[in-house]
Amino acid sequence: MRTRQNVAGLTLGNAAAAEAEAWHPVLDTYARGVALMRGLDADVSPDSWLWAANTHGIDQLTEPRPAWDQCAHGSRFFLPWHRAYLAWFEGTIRRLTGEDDWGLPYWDYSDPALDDTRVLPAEFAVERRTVDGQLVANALFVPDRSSDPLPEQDVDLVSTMSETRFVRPVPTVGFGGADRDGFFGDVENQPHNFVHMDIGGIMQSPATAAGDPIFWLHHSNIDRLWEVWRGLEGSVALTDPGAAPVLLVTQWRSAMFAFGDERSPTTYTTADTEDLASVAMGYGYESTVLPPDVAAEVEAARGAGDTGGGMALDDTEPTWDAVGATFDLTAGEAREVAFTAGRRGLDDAVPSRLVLELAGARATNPHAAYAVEVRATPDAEPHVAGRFSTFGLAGTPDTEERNYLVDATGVLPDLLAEGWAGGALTVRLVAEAGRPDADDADRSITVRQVTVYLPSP
Amino acid sequence: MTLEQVVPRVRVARRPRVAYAVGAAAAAAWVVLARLSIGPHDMAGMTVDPRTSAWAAMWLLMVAAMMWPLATPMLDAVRRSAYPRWRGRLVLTCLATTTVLWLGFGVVAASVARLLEVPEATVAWQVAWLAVAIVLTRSARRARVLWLCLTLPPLAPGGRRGLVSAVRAGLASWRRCAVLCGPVMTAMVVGHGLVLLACASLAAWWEAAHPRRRHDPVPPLLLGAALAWLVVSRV
Repeated sequence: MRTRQNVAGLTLGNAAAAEAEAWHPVLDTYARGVALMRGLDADVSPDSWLWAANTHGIDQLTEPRPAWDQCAHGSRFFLPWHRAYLAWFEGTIRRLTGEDDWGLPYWDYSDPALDDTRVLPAEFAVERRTVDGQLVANALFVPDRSSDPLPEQDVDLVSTMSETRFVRPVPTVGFGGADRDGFFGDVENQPHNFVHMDIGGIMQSPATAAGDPIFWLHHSNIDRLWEVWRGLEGSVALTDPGAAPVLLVTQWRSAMFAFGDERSPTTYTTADTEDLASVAMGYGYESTVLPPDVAAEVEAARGAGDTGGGMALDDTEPTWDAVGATFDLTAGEAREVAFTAGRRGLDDAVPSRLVLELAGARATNPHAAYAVEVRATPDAEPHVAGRFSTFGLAGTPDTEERNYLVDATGVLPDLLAEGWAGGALTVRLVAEAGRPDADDADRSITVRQVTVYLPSP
Repeated sequence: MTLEQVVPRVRVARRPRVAYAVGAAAAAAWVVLARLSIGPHDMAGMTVDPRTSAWAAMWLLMVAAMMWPLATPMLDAVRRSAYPRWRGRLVLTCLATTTVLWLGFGVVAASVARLLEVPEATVAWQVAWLAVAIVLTRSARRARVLWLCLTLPPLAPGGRRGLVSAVRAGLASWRRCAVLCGPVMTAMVVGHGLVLLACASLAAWWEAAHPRRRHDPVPPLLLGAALAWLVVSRV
């Protein structure tokens, strides 16, 4: 079993040292492997860097191939597909460098006690490095990345890890996805999508992201978080009894992922990806536990309604009613959504949940992240019901759309305290404050449809 | 309480209501088809004529039997996205869209067969299109299209927009089914014996339930069995 190590324990920690000193063997092997891959021609070699990157996504000018542009974003296959993708990539590096025990490091940016882990590791930030006394080009460097630390709220894990289900039916989502394609699972939304946008440069588009060497460490961490989640008491996998409809389980169990040479690809099953000790995977992580403070918060959130066995007995799926919708909402515009169907008022019973579906989001030049504000009335105080990152909208065709589900249950008490009586809800999308692009008037996003859901009476 | 004890109490895996209704309708279509069942050569010599009501009725029964079950996940999504009082209308609109598209597909394919003066139950026509279907099951590009088709457009909950989005969802579902079953359905415009229909349906349903299974041997085996039956029954 190989061990994937936290890059925090491998990095030299500052740019000057990264440029002048010898690197940790794990990062040195990675840089050598990337350099070797970059030297191969994508037209002929599935071991090439471009082939590996194009397997994830291709830009609009690249001629497609069956093995390319496979990434399973906005899908419950997001985690197993990327796990297999990383295993295949890791094997390529091992084969090219001859380092049979090499394991891809991970970038754990979510420990609130360690601020410096939210900064890009120094080995990725320097243009040149010293090898055998000579300054050479650093294969891990890519221009146009942000040098700012990742915002703390973007890598917060409490909400994501508090989710107990891998999959939930739309209009809700689980840790790994929803029962319909086109919706981000919790871990894909945050931290995954946010970190992509925060790093910037080619990481901001699925078409180009895997061409950045930091992509692989970011996804190694996302993969680790899946393992952390699986180890939390009360987590319900898609294949657990009663956790998902038979069709979804069948689709999950029969899925295969193929990489590399199209005539004789390396293939992985979902069973392979669910067992890190399997021959196909053969690795483990240095740590699969949450930082203590985060673990305590997650445990508290999961414990709501817990009967002592580690799982909430009322964790049953409600049925939902669409109660109101509005169309073609542009960022910045406040729109009152009238509840034209179902239970319009709250006279009978106060709803226990409130969910907004933002379907058909489209943009060519969006802000990095948006907050979804709701108000009891158009003149009332806004409450941030949720937030989403626009990873995947920039750099993709104009026709590509994204869907976001925002669980606004957390602001229900505020709305009710202000006397909200149902009947309507005012919704507004705003560029998230505090980001470099927050005041950029040239950026915007349009959502084709906003639907408000309440639990069925 | 252990996880094993708790998980069965979770109610998420209930079968969608719309699946019962569509499943019952498809089952009824199968019963009628079985009663009307004709061998592959019973009408040999007659030219295909999609203008006749008999052809249209048989074709629609076949669409209901084979294609409606494939549309179930999409219909359930439409139902869940709709305002309660719009659910029936939107689900029916969506189902009608896929059915009308398949009817149009059948009319066009049968018209081509008629133009080429292909007699009903021509085995060569059916064998040729089944062979095309078998070859296509190995196509990586086709597999990719099948994954991408799983994403539905935004579904409006009611009103004119709801009807339009239900039509769009029906169109998206039909496109996926056409990729899955287009050649097989073309084979069946000149005749659809029960064995061929059953094998083709099982192949399509299997593939829909295993969309990411690489080089799945089951669909080509089922289609191969239908092909063999056609050849053997002619001998």
